[in-house]
Amino acid sequence: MVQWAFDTLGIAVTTDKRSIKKAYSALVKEHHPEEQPDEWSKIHEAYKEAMEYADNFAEKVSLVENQNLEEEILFEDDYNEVFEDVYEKWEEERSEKELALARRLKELFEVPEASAEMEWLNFFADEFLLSAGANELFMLFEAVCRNEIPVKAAKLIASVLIKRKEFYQDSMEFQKAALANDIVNCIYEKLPKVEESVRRKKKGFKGILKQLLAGMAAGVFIIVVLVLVTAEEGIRQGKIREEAVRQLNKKYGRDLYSKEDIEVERDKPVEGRESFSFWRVTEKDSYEMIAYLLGDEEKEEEFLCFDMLQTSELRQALEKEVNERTGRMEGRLYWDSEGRGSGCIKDGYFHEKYEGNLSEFLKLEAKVRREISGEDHAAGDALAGENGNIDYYVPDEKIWTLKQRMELKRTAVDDGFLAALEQCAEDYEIQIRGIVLPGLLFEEKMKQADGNERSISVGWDIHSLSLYPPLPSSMMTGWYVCIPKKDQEYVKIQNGMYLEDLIEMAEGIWGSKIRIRIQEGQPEGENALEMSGETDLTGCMKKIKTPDTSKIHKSAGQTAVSFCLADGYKLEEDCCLAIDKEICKIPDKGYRVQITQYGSEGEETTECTPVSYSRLGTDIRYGDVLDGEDYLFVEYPGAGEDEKAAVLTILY
Amino acid sequence: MGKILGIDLGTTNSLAAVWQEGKSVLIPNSFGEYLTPSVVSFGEGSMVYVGKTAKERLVSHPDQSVAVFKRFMGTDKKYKLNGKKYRPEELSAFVLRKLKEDAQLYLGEMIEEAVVSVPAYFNDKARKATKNAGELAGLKVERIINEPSAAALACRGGESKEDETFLVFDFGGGTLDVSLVDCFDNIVEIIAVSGDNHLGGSDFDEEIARQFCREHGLEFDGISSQRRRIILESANRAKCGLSEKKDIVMKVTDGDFKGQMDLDNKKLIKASASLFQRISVPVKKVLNDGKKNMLDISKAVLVGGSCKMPAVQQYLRHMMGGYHLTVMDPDYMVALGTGIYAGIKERREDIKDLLLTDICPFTLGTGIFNEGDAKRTLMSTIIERNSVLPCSRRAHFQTVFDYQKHVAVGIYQGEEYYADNNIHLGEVKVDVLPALKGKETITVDYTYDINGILIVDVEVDSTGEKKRQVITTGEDNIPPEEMGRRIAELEKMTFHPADQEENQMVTAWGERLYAQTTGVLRDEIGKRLDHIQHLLYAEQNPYKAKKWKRKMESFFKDVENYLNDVGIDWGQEDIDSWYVEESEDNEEQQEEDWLWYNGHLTH
Repeated sequence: MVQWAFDTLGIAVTTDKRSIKKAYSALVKEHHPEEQPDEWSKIHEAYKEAMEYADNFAEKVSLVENQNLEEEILFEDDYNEVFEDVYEKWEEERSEKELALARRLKELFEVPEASAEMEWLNFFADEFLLSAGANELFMLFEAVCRNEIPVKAAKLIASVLIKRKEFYQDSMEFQKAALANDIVNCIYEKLPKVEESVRRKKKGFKGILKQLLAGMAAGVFIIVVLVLVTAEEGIRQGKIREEAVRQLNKKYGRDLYSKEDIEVERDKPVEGRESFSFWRVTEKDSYEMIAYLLGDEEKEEEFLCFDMLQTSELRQALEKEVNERTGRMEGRLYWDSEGRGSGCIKDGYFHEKYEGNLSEFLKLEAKVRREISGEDHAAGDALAGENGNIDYYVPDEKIWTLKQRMELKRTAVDDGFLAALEQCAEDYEIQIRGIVLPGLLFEEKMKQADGNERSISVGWDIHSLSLYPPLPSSMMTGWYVCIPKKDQEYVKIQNGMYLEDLIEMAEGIWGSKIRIRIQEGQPEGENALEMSGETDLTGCMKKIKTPDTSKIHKSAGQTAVSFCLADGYKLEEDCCLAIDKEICKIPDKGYRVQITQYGSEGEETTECTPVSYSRLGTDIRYGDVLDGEDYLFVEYPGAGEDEKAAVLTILY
Repeated sequence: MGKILGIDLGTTNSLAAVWQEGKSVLIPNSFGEYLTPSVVSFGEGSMVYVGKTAKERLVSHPDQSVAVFKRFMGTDKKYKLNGKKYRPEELSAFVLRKLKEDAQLYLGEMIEEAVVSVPAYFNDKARKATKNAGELAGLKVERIINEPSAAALACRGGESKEDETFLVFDFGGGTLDVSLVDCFDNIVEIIAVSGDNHLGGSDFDEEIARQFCREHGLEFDGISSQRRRIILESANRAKCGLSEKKDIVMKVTDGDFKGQMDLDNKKLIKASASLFQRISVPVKKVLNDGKKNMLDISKAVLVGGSCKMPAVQQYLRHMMGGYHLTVMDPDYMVALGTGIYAGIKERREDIKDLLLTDICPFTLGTGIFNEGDAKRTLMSTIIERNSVLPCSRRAHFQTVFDYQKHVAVGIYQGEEYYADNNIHLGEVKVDVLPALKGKETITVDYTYDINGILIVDVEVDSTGEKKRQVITTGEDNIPPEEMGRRIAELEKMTFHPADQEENQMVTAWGERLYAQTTGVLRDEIGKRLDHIQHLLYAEQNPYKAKKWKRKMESFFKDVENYLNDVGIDWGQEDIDSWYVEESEDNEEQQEEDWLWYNGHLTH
């Protein structure tokens, strides 16, 4: 590399910086970056390389010489006094800050043991690490050395500072890195139990560094995860690995895995379940998840093993069962593994072994889960008391297109379907969300879901009752959530609830006649066409004055359709407009959608992005326009106090 | 190739320069001055004022006028003026357009391209906004250069002097940038930069104003915006006054309120101690980053208006141990540098070998999953701070969840450990094939171009899907037709014709004084204002107006002196006596005015 650099510069290898610079500056005249950026880049790289070489191998300037100069640098004038005052003031401010930090630290050391870890975590994340200078680190060091710290909090402090030390080293803040290291050492000295492992830890640490370096040298992808391994953990990991292998092999009755096949990693504790330790079991080198091991912190030797080896087998069996009950053989079922983050057992992981009897198996499984999680069933997110959430998608038998769905205004799903789902939930102790979609949309979603065994999603908010954004929900025809016991029923939506609302609202608006104007580059008034029934509107109305006029775009070759509420009405809340593209003569592609809001501060126009409706649930943003099956679904903003109704314009 | 205009778009003042006859030449505006205040004010209809006139209107029409908008470039801040909303880049566009039109008049040729300087610490969004501002003003921004780098260029001046390493200390109205520069032969190389982009001259004004309020028992944050503006302006005058005098009396008159405060440099230093501390931080940082110490530095070049303050110079002298302090024309250095760069860009023979290499002043990276705490992603560096521009770096990442469907590459700027403590510039989201974690990988390329604009390319290794994002703010990503519309809209706004501008400026001055005075004096000012309005708009008599304008100017100067001399009462007699004196017109002047009126002299 060095040879290359000097070759590029056209000189012999040297540590004389002046000649490197001369060579560089001469070359640059021929290859100025404004003319030959690529050539210049290469030359510049060579120049940097050569300079670095010179820096490293040139004789160091003697320190003594520097010291002499250091003395000369002192400077005196009549401002000395003023600046001394200023420096004093800074000192005062700093000591105030120090005092505040000292108080905070004192507080932290007085926090009861149970919440100490959390408090410290917050302290590091929100306060300390942002602005910690060497001074603050030193204060922390002193405080840590002088005070008793609960074991968990101590471990946390150590882990945070080990990471921090690396960060400081990377950014060449060696003083801070050294201080961070001192704090870590101080903590280990305070933990007599792990004294022995501290010694090992040091060795272990070097080993990890070596591995890391080797990994980098080999061009292995840098693993995006920082794993903290302390000695104590190291020993623990060995045991856990053994345990995992034992459990898996015992459960399946054959030698599935050996200790060498798997890796274990500690997962962060789940909130409210601090008495458990969580371990992820992955296949060595491939990082494929196999199982979760749950350990009771109190009883060190007891573990439960949840694995995902039977997931697809179970899914198929359950799907078949549910389909038979509902009589919808095309129904599809997904363990909901979305939105869970790490650190918890995802649905699809089971403790028991499935022997063919689904009902028995699920009951047994639910029992195990209930026992571990105690009484708190509702915390379904982490370690659900039941067998987790399942999404069940079916097409609406009678409704094939969105158009039919718009016209029908009411779901075609019958009560029998709902009852069947509820019965399934009760029998198998699972939570089922039934999502009924128009046939075409169902097909689109299934196409999307192929290749992804785990989960699909329709809209952002299918799991909540929120109306925002209203677009996806207007496309579904039914939605149920069933939970076995009545007292745990937290969401239950009646058949067609949205649609009832829709009709009611729409009637109100129809009564006042929504005017939809079609304009073709003409002044307003002409060609105005009154229509009703082509829109769906939800939301409340309030009578006020609104602009009756629509925005006119007269640019050559451009047509605009504008929509606004009839004079005298405004919407208090956002709603969803379903616009029939055919009626409004909107082309399939190449149109633009704008919403202009009139407020006291003048008008503001926002451009909405059209998105294909089949992509629902992926990356739709609030305010996007959905386009599918001859409809445009547009978020229509409600008007605030001082605002007039908005005008929606479609340009093409 | 057409002429390229070098523009220093400053927080308080803006300047323009071109490369002419082997040197960088500043361009005077319609007042014949080099500095055009970066102030925009909207008048009746589509009238817009930029510069000195607008600055006067800042006090008389605070609701229609705006300054220091540069600080908010690249943010979503909007200014409501005359019932319309303006973004900072639209306001900057007015300033740029004014500079461009003045330059076109001066040079007698059309200008379509420009090199614009920005503070080194301007982030990507702000740079993009600056480019957009240029476009809105009808200028193609050929290059964006960092202000301190421009200053370094100007300092080097294109001549081959001896090798040196120096500090450029650019302390303007709103930002502080410190650069460490290495010069040899035809090379000007920026080694390290640092700064504080919320520290500037106006912070000193505020500290002085706060001190004033403390001494007069006022609550700085509690007084009316009009009074605060008056006190701040007076503080600014006092601060500037200290550049020439050792001590000064700061006087404030606002209606019935009158007050004064003695001020000298030492008091100023004490009042704004915390600001000085902030000044020292970036200086230490660049030396650290560039692995140099004070002894390696042959000089410090001070640029930017705030460096004119003796207190600042004094402090730097202290910090640097007393020697090597060169104060160059602090106001002009950056503009001259942009002029030189314009010359380089035009590939002029006499300057084309000069080379400026700049660096990326901050770390750019992405957020990576944090196994320890899933909610807080960690910062993973891709382009390290102080990398030479243009630079391109590649990094590989992998999925962290089983069956993960998308990977979101967050784009962050900053030095913090946790990604969310850094500035979030944008996000690129790509779909990956569902697979077990770690199986799917993506390749991320960051390219930071010579203008300091970041381009992020993300490629999914398995599917080959590629996505590119040029970092912009949400609304900056303006489609061409939208841009066209906005340019047209801004073009509708017209500047005052140059010959009317001076009249407007006097009127605005009068309006400001009117707002500041009471009683007889106020009436007198009012009468004169009425009169000149009458001459300008009713009679439309430019000769009379020009004559009157001069009278007004000298009257206002007197009023200004009076206001600065609180305690002396001005009676009707004084006004009368002044009027008598002034009405004995200087005959020579009158003659000249006639000649001008009859077209014998150009304006």
